[in-house]
Amino acid sequence: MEVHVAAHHEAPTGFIRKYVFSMDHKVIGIQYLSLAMAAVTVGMILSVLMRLRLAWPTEKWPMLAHIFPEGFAGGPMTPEFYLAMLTMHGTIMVFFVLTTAPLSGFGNYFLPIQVGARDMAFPFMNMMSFWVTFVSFVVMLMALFAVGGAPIAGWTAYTPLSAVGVIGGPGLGTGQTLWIISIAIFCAGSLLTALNFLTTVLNLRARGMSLMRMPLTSWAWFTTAILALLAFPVLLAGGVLLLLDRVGGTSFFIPAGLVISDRHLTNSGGSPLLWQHLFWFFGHPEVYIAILPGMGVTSHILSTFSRKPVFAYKAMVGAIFAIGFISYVVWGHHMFMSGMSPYTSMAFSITTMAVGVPSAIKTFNWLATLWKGQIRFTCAMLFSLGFVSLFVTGGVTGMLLAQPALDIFLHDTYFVVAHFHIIMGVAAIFGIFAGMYYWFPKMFGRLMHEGWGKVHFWFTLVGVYSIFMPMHFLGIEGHPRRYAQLTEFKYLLHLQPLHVFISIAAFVTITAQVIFFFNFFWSLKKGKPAGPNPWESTSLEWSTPSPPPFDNFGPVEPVVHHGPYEYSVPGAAKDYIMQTDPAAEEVRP
Amino acid sequence: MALLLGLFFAAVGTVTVGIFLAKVWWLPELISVHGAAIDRQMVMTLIIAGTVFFLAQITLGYFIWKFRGQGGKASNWHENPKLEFTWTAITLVIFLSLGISGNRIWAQYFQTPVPKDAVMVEITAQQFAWNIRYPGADGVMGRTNPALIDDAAGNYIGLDPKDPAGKDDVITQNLMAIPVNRPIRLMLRSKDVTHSFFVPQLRVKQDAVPGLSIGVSFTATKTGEYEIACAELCGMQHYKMRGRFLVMTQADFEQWLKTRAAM
Amino acid sequence: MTLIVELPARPGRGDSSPSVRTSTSLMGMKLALAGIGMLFTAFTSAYVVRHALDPDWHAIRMPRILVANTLALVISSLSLEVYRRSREERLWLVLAQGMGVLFVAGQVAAWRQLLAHGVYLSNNPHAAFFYVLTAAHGLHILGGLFALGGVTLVAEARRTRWLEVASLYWHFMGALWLYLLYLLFGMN
Repeated sequence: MEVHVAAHHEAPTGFIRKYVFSMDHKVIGIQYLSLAMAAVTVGMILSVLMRLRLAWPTEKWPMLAHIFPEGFAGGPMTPEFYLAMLTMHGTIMVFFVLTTAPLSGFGNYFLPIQVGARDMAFPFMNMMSFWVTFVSFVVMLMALFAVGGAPIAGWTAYTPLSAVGVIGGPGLGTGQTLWIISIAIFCAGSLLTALNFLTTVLNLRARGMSLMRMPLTSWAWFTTAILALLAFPVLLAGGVLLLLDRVGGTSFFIPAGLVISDRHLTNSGGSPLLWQHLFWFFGHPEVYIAILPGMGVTSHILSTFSRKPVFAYKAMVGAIFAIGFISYVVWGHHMFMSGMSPYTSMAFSITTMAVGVPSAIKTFNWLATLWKGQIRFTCAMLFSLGFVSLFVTGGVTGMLLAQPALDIFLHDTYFVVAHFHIIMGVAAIFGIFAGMYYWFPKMFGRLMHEGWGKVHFWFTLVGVYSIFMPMHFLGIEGHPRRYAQLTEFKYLLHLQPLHVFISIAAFVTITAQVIFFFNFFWSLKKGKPAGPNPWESTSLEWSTPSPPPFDNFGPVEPVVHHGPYEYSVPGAAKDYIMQTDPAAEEVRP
Repeated sequence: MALLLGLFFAAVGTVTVGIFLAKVWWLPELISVHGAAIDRQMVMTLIIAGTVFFLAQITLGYFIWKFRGQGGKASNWHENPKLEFTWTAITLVIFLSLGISGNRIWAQYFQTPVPKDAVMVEITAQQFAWNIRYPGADGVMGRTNPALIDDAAGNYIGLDPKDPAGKDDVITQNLMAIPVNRPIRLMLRSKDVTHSFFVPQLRVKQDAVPGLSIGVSFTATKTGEYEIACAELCGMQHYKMRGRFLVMTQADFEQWLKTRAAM
Repeated sequence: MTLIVELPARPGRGDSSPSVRTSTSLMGMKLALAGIGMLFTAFTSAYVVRHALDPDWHAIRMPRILVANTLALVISSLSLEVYRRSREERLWLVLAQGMGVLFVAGQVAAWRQLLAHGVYLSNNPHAAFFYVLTAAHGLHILGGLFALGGVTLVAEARRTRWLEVASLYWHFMGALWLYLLYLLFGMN
């Protein structure tokens, strides 16, 4: 593969060119991370509102009623407000936090540097991708505050509920339309990101940086970008058709003979299941888009802070690809109870079990990476160790959900909510935190405060297990999801104390995140100055100053001489060899 | 730090497994024939998953403590094809076996032929109620037409008054009764958005999709009163779309039908 | 296993020759086309499913003008290819651009024909797909026209790269159009 050079541009001057409309991948990465931080704040507030209702459904909240008069009309929070919070919480977290921070945030900043490039392949398009995503977020916020309410159809927007407009319920008018438009814009932004990532890896690696010398973070970003490239267009297509069903009088997803609130609809011939297929064909790769970068970061950080190479690097690369590939043929496991052919369900069940195999391999390899290591308990390492634990917890429940016979009971219960929160919501977030503590010194030239970081870690680790483990029990008792309260069902009443416990755990855990934000902003100004390589790590970003100069490497092109994880090489002077180190001896097995 | 973290993960593994073993929270009582196989598979999968979970958390916790940095040199060991092959093979075998055994039970569930003497019931779900229909003495469900649906007039399912077979249909709302120990054939429909019929004790769940009529079979083994919950987000009263589900003796059931037909 | 693998010397990274930058841009375009292909694959599966499910499917007749439009697009691609290989007679480029504009005008005319006959998005699913697919394709064609215009307008130093990338895109859109024609009207 030939090695090429991106368009070289001069360092920009002026505030706008440097920090607002910047084409520098490092600035763009920070912009995406900032967007994700804003989004996660909104997402957490929404979850607080949800948990408030679940724990105390009949309670009145006068202060909140002041801010959201419609949501509290008549006293307690209305069920439709709950559903609106639920929908927007899921949407904002999945798209604007988990699809931005791990990939477009850290990936934008560090992929070019890790492969030895001066910038992404298409810097102008990179800038566009951020601002397009920003516009998408603004439109989503408009949906949140839309006249008539935010949409209530869930982040999955199943039809016909999402297609029929306000006769289906509040928020399904303007709110739902704005939601679709926001998602469509988001698809465009993601596609631009994916193009850049893939071209940069394929065409812009430095001399000596063969594919099999790339850090696993780069491999993860690369594979994630392939997933994004091929999955987001399908969501876009579905979104266009859904929008037309809503405003164009078409019947892509609406069958004949619907009567809603005694209103007879004139649509005919559409299929609600078609939406589910289109959505989940995107939706399943999407959740791997959310977790793969975190898996890459975990491998990278476990290796660095065990002072050991990643165990079975080649198998790790193979596993990333296998997961990426198989993720495209499992989407039907979201539809076992949908009325889809049960034979199709069997096929999807087998593929879903199959995707567990490379995931298990990665877990074994992480444990083997720790074996006989010399573990340094930095905050980054703590969060990566947490990631491994959470990945196992979330992953094993997949063994149950992959079986249609068990899904008969578990589908659409809190068991599913527990599963996806732990594996996606929490494990991926731990990947983001690990990345943040790890790369903060490189991005900002200062270290985050390790002591406060450890406090943050403990509160968060204990907190997330306290929040989401009990949800498995709610699920096994048959508690359906997306219920604004459980009080209508006798068989659920005895579970209310669990909801109270979960809510309190959630409030404590979310409050503890203030520690992180405080640490982040405080360290920007007051953190201990960091040299180029405070962690004694080997990948290319640690060979540059902190933060790197505009063109990443200064006047001399980087040349790569080593693989990414040469720690504790027998006979070497230090317990790590930088990838760019030219002077290290040849080592034979 | 190392000890604390190691113990924490060990505790996560132990406490969680303990709660499951003690059945502090557990599946609701089982009242169906096919559900026995599901529960067995559930338990077996939980045991396997739980073992994997427990061993992984314990190992993680142990490694964290055992290999905490103490100033020495780390090993460079980073591959072992035999070991890798072994754990890959074991994982593959376990996952494949679970997949196959689980799908066997699934196949049994949907491939069992409907016996001729099955009690026919039909549900037309709507925002936010369950309309349940029995064919009546003639054993035939009357024709329905969505165009005839008129909630205000009480024709929730669009029963065609011109069809004589529908005259004796028994229609209820949010109240379903079935005889115990007899096969039931339930057809699920929806007139507005997607709902899902879920009776936890029966181990039955099936989406009711507008435009489709989906069949589900089961046999209840215990009399009593249970609840139908909606298991697919259908709008703002999704959480209170509740039906009463009564399992009664054959004699009681016939009496119940007669009484309702007269209403 | 050797930990250190020395690779043969490669072209220095200071080399940002035009051919190198062209191949990077071409890679980006190929990836973009993969994404665009997925968009139309999704539309295709929706079309197939919708067609299969509908007992009431009344296919519309193909508006005759589409024949002319297709011809225009094919000629456009051929002309563009001639220009790309010879880089001599500017006329080929102008012909390619002109035929592209004609195509768009013809598509608009086809829409107006259908609307005049009372065939809307809402009253015929086959027509609905016709509108959706031609609109999606048409938007991409407009982007392509912009790119073709760029070939004329950009500085000489960038022209070759621009032309290579725009040609790939334009030919793909032409082939896509033939496919859509087949999907909509050839599959009966």
